[in-house]
Amino acid sequence: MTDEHDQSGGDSRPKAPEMPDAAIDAVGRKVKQSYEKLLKEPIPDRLIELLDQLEQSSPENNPEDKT
Amino acid sequence: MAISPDLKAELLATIPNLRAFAFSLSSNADLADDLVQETLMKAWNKIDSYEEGTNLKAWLFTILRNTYFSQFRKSRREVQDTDGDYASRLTVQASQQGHLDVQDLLVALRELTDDQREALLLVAAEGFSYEEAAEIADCALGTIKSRVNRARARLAELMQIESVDDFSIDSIGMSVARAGRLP
Repeated sequence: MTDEHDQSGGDSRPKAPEMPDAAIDAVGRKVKQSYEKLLKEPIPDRLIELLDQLEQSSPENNPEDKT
Repeated sequence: MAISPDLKAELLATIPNLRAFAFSLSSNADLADDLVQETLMKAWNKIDSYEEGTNLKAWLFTILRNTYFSQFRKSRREVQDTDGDYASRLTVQASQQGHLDVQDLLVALRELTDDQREALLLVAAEGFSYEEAAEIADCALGTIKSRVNRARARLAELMQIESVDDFSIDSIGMSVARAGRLP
């Protein structure tokens, strides 16, 4: 299945001009660089607590549920 | 269905990636954390279907993007009517470190279609292989490649056309943009 033409492509504009490879590489680097800053954001407590809760609710750690 | 301490640790270690992906995909910090929470709960509930030792991150990303595209995108559309202002404000609130870079990324990503944004984030930002990305996004390999290419080309184009200041392109990017634009 190939959808060469994404309907959602938003191609109301004429075909994009050719980009030099260097510019395209720069985009990749830039995206990665910014994204890595997002990765460094601390994990909110609520998500850590959620994992703890889930762990406690798992049947394995709940002796009463053991069959 | 042993939920080993290793698996829990691995889940925890993946949270920053899930949050960054959710945030970049939606440009909405609150929604992103809701999305991650939902993803973790779903993952936990069907942990049986995960084979330990296989690619946990890819498995979680699949759950997250499916959740986003099936449930969460609607709510985002409701707030998407504005120009860049909304995302900018959210980003300023959300990014505790207040990095302009991150804001730039989100603003630029909004210029892409959902499909393109997803593909670019999976491959260029997260470093998934095209094969993995195609599996996560549930599309053909050729489709994912073409989406990534279009996304890159579109952003490269924006960097050249828009005011350079708007993107605060780093020195490498800026010299590239200039080289492309000046005679």
